[in-house]
Amino acid sequence: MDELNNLFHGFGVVLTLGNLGYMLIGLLLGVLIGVLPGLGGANGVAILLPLTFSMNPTSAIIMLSCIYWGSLFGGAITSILFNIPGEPWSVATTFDGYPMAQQGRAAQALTTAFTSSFVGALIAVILITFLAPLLARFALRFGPAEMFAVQFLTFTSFVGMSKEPPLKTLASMLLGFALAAVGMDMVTGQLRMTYGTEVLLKGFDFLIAVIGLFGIGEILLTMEEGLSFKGQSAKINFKVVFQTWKILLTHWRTFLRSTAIGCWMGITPGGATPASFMSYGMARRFAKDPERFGKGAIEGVAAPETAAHAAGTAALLPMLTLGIPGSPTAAVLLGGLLIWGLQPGPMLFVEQKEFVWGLIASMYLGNIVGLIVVLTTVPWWAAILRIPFAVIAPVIIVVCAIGAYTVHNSMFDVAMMMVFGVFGYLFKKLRYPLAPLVLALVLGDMAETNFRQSMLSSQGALNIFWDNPLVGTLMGLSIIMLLVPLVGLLREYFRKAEAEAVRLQG
Amino acid sequence: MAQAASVWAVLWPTVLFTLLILPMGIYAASVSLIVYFMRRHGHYGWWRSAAVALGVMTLLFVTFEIWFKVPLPKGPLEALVGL
Repeated sequence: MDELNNLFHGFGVVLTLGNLGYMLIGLLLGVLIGVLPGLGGANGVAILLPLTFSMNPTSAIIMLSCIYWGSLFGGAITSILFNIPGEPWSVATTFDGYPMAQQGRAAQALTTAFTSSFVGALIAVILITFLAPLLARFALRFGPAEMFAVQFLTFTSFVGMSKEPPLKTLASMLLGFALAAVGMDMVTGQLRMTYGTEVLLKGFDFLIAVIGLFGIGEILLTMEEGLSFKGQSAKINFKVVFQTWKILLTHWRTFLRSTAIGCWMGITPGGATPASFMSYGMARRFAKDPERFGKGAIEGVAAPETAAHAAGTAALLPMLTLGIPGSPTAAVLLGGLLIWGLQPGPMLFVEQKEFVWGLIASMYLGNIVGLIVVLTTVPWWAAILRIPFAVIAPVIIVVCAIGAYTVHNSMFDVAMMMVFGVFGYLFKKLRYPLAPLVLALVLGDMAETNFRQSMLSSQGALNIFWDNPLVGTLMGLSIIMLLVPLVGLLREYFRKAEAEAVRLQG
Repeated sequence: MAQAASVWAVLWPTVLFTLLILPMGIYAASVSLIVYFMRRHGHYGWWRSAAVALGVMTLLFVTFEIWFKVPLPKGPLEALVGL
């Protein structure tokens, strides 16, 4: 019961007036970010990260993680009331959420979404509370070879589990590796791909990439659709909330299933987006009357929201214990850790107890407070969405520019952000996933360092990667993940061949 | 083509804005960008556009420079006011 003691100590850290204040600010900013087009969890946290440079790390992570929870909640508001997914993982929420709002059941849909998010996140936090210390203790024994194997597994599971075509995922990831390689080589001190320019010495900062790719790219995309937001209005009162909770209790199976999917996809870096789609699909498959889905089924809102939040929360587990982010937002939080001078990874649980358990305690409190905040403030957020795009767009561009500038106080970064923004737009236009690029940019350097350290210790022999059962299993799993898409291709091929055979016989 | 045109309509002012930050400072550049957008795409009057732009930048100034003590790039205009 060591964990419980630590957790209560963590609550002690969080329950100071200052930290509670940061928590509330974080939640409100987070919902705002989730509601506005062009600002999402990942780039929102990236833009606000420089604000925390002078804060103490515990308060900073509490505020930033609360921005993350807030943005997860906020995405649901736009999906349900305006049929605009504010975040990629709320796309599945629009399938049934918007029909519910059109039928005048907006309050019920919103309550369902918020409650489901809360349940998913809560179960994932409980999982983190008990699993993270165990995993961290286990990971203390990891050497460079094991770390590289885990990172390799991260990369390959992206290819294997992604909803996008595997080759597009691979292409996006390799571009990320190429960008990560730019700058000073950590081991030999040689310069790589800087072409004699000074500005490229530091390489590409992934925070700049995140702000540009997700922020400016999204604005350009939204502009193209010429959006005038037309939405349903909603007011939530307590009667509706309690009625909805009563209905939701009968769907406990959906909650359990969706949380399980979400936690799994969050820990293995599948991410919140595929988790929400998978969970929606499962809910429809297991429903007694699947034809209700898409026309305003309450499970159709509960399932994707539960899974998305469970995945979003569970993504912090590998980030804290292994230093490997499970999602772009977790990657930004990881970047924050490094900036505040903390080394993410298993040692965090030994050296920075107060920080880790403060963060975990803030996850519990942040989600409870977040649920109350969004339930009571929905009409305001809906009003913000009615502000015309001609006002919102330039303000978001300005905020992105400020965010990019403040990371290193460098104008070159602002220009880089614009370039990334155009690329982000093209990527989305051509349906290439952005998350693999961001993760490769973050993890590329780390994976390279680990690989080279293992090579140094084994004097160049590759068998260090299957020498012991642990590293062998990890590498084996990675290769299986890489082969998953091939299985699908083969199946397709055989089906075609069979159809061809039938056609020839007949 | 209509899509490309509307994307271009956002892209060029944004690029110009990033180029103007260095000589003008971020506050003047941002106010210009917001006013341009509101007049060109939202068809607002001068007064309303200016009020929104100044309001947003004041809010950002207070948040970044006073509250969290993060300095932003300033130009000759801010020097004139004495910031």
